[in-house]
Amino acid sequence: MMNKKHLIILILVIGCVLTLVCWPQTIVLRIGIFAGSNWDVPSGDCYVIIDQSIERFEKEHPNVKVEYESGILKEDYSQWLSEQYLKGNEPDIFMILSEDFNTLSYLGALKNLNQFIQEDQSFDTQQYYKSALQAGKYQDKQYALPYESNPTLMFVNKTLLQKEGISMPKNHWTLDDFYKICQKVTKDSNHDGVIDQYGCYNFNWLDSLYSHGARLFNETGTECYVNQSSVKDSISFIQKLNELNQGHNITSHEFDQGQVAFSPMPFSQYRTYKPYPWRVKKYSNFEWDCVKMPSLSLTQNSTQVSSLLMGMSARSHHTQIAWEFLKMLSYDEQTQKQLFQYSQGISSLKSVTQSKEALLLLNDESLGDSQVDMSLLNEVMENTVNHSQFKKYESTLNLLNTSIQQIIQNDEEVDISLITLQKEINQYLKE
Amino acid sequence: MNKSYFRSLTSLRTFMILLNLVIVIFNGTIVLLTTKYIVQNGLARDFLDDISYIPHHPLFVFLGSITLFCILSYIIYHRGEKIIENKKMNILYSGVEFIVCAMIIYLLYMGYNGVILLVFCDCIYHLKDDKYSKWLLAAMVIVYLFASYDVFSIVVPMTNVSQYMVVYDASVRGMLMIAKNILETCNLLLFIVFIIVYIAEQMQENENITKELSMIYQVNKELKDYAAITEKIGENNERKRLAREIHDTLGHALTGIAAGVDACIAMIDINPSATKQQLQVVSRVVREGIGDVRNSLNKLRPGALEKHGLKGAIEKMIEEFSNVSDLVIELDYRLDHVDFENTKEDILFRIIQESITNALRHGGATHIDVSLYLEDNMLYLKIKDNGIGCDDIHYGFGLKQMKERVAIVNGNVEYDGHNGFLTVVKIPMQRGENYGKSVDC
Repeated sequence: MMNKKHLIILILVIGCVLTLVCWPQTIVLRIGIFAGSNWDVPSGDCYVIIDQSIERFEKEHPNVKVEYESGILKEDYSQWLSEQYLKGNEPDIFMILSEDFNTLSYLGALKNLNQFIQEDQSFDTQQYYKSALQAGKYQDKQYALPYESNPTLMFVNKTLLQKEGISMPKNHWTLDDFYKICQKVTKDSNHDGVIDQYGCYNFNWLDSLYSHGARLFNETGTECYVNQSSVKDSISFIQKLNELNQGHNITSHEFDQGQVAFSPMPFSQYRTYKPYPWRVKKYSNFEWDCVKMPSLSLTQNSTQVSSLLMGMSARSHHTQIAWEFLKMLSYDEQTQKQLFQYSQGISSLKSVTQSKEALLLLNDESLGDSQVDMSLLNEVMENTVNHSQFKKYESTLNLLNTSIQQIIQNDEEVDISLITLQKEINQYLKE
Repeated sequence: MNKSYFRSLTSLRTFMILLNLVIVIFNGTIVLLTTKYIVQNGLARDFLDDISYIPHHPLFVFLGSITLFCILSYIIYHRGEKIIENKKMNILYSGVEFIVCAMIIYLLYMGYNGVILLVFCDCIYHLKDDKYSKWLLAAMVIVYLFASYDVFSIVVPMTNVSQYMVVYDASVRGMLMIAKNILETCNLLLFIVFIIVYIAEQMQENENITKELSMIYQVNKELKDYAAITEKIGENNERKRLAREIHDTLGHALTGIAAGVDACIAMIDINPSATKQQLQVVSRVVREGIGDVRNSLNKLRPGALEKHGLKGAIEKMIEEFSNVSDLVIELDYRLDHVDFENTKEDILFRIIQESITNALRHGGATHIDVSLYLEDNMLYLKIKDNGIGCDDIHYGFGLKQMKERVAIVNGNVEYDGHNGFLTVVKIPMQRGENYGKSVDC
């Protein structure tokens, strides 16, 4: 009697376990995204690309359901993601802000994708622009893939240049050319004794550094190379530029009024303000366009690119599906093409950025006379510089920024200041 | 002593288990509540910058560590209740305890390693004089040394749990640190007390063993003395036996000879030829005496008995006595269907011999009745003479000998000195001695 009872219970338990194991389970994949644009420009269709990708993905994988929490603002996103991590509740796939990437990689919070990349035959890293892919690398491990890239271009006030009889600079131009034009345009145009026309707005020491092709840190972030000639040259160049303005600090108002010839401008801003309707709102009283950033020599990489990365949680339970979806967002041409349509950045995939559809989209938006075409973008993306990735990168850069701004502002002796600064920073890095 | 020792160790261990449970819950709660605090106060991003590795799910840490600790205490108790004789099982239990303990420490981010002390105590408690236990304990000491965050995090990256305290303001942090330190110090103190009690017990045990050893030595010595005494007694017995033999054989023969020679002295002038005959008898008695002595020396067994059986031997002896003296001895032998063992035969023979000698020597008897029969499964030997007898019986060597001899076969002897001298010997029959049907009852 007892035996029979036991047998029935045993069979029931085994049955339950088998049903549980064999039942077609719905895998829920959670993703973390934020509302709005990563590049702080107005954006209306922030969820369109994600929604469509999810739809396609769920069609391809019928047992997978992709979920995300909507309405998280970009400024809250970092905090939100950190909280989810602490609560052990982080999504499987999520966007990573560039300031968070190093910390998360250091903490081991991100899944090392090297193995997926190696095993996945359909995945080829060569498809990405090298620097965009590099942005998701932390100490030789690929922790994230670029979702969207945003290179920095140089805004040119065409009207102002025309007035001064200067031809529009070509895409291949050097810092010398840049300085010469700035020198030419800086003057007192209404002859009231005060300079009211300026060369460049917002061209900071980092832009200069990239143009000079200098590296600040070694790969692992244990040493800082601030005290080297290229850094000195970069700072001297900024000092030289500032001297042109005779101590005047150019305001954004003056820039908006068209009194400034140049300013570094992210591609996302170009994409936003160049076409209608935003073009009537900003920079409407003059003609403008963008060119590549000037470089020290014609062969040197000069552009900074910022990337929006997407990574996978190290604790994800569905890594293979998550990898598939990560590929759908980052590597799928259809998704990446939509970036040109609904977002402001550009794809990190060579094939998409070079494609005809993207070209058509861009040309439709601009007024046709723009110098920004796909070949320029391609070239810019190929020639971008990367910075080293290590945990203290953001904080060290902040320290450096403050000190160097001070050096520039106070017009200090660069040589001596940099020696002390390098010592301080090295000390900080070793802590 | 042993019981109270076990009781004190067991209660110490129970205290340690309870204290460790409190500490584990304390640590788990800090992780759980601090996470909540961080999220509520929007400190998450800064906190991530401060820690060195991504933490586990806080609830997993909390419940996981408590569950594992419960498993550990269950194992400890289970092991305590069932004394495991099997050495391998013992080692296995220690290993499992050790693994569970390591898991708890890992779950609590190496912030608390006192659990090892508990497991250490438990293993000491169970693995006493095992050769593996030394290795296990040595391994545990090494693990204890390495089971701190500062050492372990070099090999395996992990969250530094101390940062969980740092998020609070100074006063709360101070209180938490104090609480944590007090708890951990208590655990350490309990551990030290446990070890002290343990070592004290070990010393006590050693002392006991020494005591017992000395006692064994004492007993050994006594045994040796006793053996010496026994040897002496044996020697004494042997001496007595020899004396008995001499008395029985030589003494008896000499008495006969003396009587015979006396007769010769009296007759020699009257009847030389009869004297000659008498002397020949004496000579034969002397030779037999020599033979008896030889036999005694060889086997300590009467030769007549050996040659003729009990009845024959007795008849022979009676004939000899009749020949050398004017004694009339009547034998009533009714034991034809009885087969005695040698000892009994010897004893009976000697008693008859002794009694006849006594009757002749002390009683001056002329007629002796010897009867042997069975009654109520008892062997009766009655020797009755018509000599002078005696009013109170003097236990000489011979009588005593008789008593002793009979006692060997569980029998007893009674003497009666009135109206001549009567000796009654009663010996219980043993199984198998009586084979005849026509036993006289």
